[in-house]
Amino acid sequence: MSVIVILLSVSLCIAGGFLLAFWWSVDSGQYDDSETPAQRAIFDDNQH
Amino acid sequence: MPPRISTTTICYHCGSTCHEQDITYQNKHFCCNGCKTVFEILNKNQLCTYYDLNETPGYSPPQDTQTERFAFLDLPDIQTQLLQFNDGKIAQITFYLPQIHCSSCLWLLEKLPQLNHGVQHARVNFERKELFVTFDPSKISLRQLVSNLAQIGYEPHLQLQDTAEQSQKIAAKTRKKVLLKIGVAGFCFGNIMMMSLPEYVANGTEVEPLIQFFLKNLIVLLSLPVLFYCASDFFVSAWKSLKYRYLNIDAPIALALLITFGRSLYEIYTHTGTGYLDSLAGIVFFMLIGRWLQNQTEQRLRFDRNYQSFFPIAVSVKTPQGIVPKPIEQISPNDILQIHHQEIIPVDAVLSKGNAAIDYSFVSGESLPVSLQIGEFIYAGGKQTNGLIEVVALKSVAQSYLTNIWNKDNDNATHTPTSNFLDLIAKYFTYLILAIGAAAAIYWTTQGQSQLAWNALTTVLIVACPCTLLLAATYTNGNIISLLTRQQFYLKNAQVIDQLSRVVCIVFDKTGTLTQSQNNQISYEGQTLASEQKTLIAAILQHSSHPISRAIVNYLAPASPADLQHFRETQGKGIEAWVEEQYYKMGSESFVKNETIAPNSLKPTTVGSELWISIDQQIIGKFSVANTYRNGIFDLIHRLKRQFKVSILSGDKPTEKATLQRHIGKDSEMLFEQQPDQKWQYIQQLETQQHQTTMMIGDGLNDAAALKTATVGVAIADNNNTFTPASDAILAANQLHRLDQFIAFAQTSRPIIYLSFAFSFVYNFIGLSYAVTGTLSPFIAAILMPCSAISVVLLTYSLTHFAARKYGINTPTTTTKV
Repeated sequence: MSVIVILLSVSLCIAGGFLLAFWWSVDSGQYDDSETPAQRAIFDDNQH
Repeated sequence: MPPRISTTTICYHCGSTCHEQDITYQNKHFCCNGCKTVFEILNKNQLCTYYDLNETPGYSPPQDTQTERFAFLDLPDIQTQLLQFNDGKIAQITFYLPQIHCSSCLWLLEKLPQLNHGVQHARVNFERKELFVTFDPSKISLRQLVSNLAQIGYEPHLQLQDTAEQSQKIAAKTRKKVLLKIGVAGFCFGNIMMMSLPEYVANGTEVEPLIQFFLKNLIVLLSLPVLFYCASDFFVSAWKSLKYRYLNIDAPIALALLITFGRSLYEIYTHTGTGYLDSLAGIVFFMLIGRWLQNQTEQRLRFDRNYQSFFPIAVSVKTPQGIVPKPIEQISPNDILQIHHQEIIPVDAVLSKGNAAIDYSFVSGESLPVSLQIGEFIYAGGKQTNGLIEVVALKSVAQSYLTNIWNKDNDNATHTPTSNFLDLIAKYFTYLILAIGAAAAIYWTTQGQSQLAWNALTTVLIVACPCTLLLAATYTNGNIISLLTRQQFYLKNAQVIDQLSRVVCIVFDKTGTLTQSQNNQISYEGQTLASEQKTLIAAILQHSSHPISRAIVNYLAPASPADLQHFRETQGKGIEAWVEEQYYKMGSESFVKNETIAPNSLKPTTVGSELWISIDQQIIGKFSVANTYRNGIFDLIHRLKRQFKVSILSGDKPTEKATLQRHIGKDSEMLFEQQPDQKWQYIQQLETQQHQTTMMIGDGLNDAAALKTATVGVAIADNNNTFTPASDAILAANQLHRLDQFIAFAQTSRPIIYLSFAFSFVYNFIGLSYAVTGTLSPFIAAILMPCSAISVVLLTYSLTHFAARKYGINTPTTTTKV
């Protein structure tokens, strides 16, 4: 049964990894503006 | 692309109808040169896809886009204030562009590097209407960049105080922090839930001790960041309020969290139970999300008091083309402003001509006028009290500063009838909640239901939300003010809304309020005036700010003000002046006549107003000014009379009485030949003896005392500098005929506030009555509480906008295309 302890620790570590990823994404400003990129995507660039 | 031609020609760029001008270029029609220029720029750079994204997407740029206006951007001091970074090769700046309104704006602005080779990079934040530009200052100066933006119709809103920027930076930082806290809380909440599962499903069967020990400690470990990091804001704010011996809304939440945490630790380590750490994490998680959502909603519906359009006030500016009225927001440094007797200097300036006696009572409270020499500095907010002066503006007008002096003597008196009630709630709500929670807990304990007792206590503390009660008034009034502002009706503060809705009597001033100071029909009788004499009379009259003087000055063609050896204006009567050894006296008949020796054959006028002139105590003639009533003014008075007691005060002789009575009816009180202090006494008597809430509508300068005495003093702004801190509101003259709509709209403020109160009472009542039974889940409580706050924001927003539509004042007049 003690394998559960190991499993739990591993799952917690993985979840912690995602938490860190989230932290990084917030910190690097990916949530600062959630509207403009969506609009920017619809322009086709016929200049190049 | 085919040109759009219909019966009315529509501008290809901005979509306005081409009224005055119709400029054709490449078979396309434009309403002004500005629009044509934008098209040319776009066309030259092959950026015409702009027009494919939206039909007629452009804002037409302001007509007077002169790069001179931005000359101040060449000053190094100002550059350092505005630029976020500058090393000579690369400079960065963020502009606030209120004009951004659609995806084509976004597209065009991000193509800035193609329009302008000095610009390296341009990025738009659509939600915040900001443009971030990186440019090469050696190739393009800041001034060029800004003029360029103005040229394509996006004139940046430059804020020279770095405080605004700093507060934005802080806001961005806290936004990030909140997101992180939500993330961490979610992570801990999920994991604690998962680890609590064995306890829930074990259901009597023993969980292996090793695993139990491991799970228990892990749960406690995971709950620590929730309590100490994610929930820190609640504790900090509760602690701050405790330090000031006052309990705020975060206090019961913090208490609930502490109780839950303490009790869980006790249960876990004494093996008496499993604890409620999963609930704790859930409460914090949902609360944080709720607050974040609330913030988001508020930002979307932001009552942008900061970026509101300017007061509709104009100042006379000396230009090569003569003296023109200029809206205060267009005043730029180095403009020469003419400040008349009694006018407020709207901007920091240097005296360049005339005898300045500046009364700083609005700024400092000291009313003794300060005499200044030419070249001396004058602070914004001072009032000229000695004839006409000319000053050179040093800055642009800071409306926020003017608003501040406007509200200055009002700081202590912001008591609306609801505010006492609100103070009471704010003070005792928390105590009440604590009492209810404690009572419920004690009741359930005596019933032997300790589980229910704890649950009841925590949920009562969490679910109760006074914010809905406290914020309803703030949100409602904020919305109303910003809606009225868009109609060019500027209220001093939220208190004025309440006063407006209590008005019973409306008193109008006649000259300049009911009548128009422009387009007057003016005639002259008496000795023929030589042209030098005419100029001289105009030059003297220019010193006065009275509507009739202004009308006559306009009629005689304005000249540069004469050097007066002595000047005195007796308010409501006339002016006296010594020029070139001659004693001039101009004003009402009685004022001019009482000292004259020579008899004269001139007869008083039978219609309109008049201005008599004497030189060295000899009457030489008089001007008659026929009154032109403003459009729709009689209809307005008829509509107002159904609801209010309307009276009219005039400084003129009763020549117009018959006309007015014919139009308005005989039941309204009309008083003529009223001096300013008589007007003031009239209002005073209405207010104090008859206890009738009075609204006075008049000229901001000549009726200042009456405006101040009236509960609501409305200054009419008609292309002149009528700003006076004595008034409670400023109304653009061309919107005067809609006054009844504005009052009706202001009256909806109370019902809306009461409705929101009722809503939050019902919410709190239902929430609390569930909570005391102990059956409400703490999760639901944590979700409900912020939801109620959000719903009040939305409720007040939609109700005020609904009312605005009902009274026809949701059509923006100032923020639309120029």
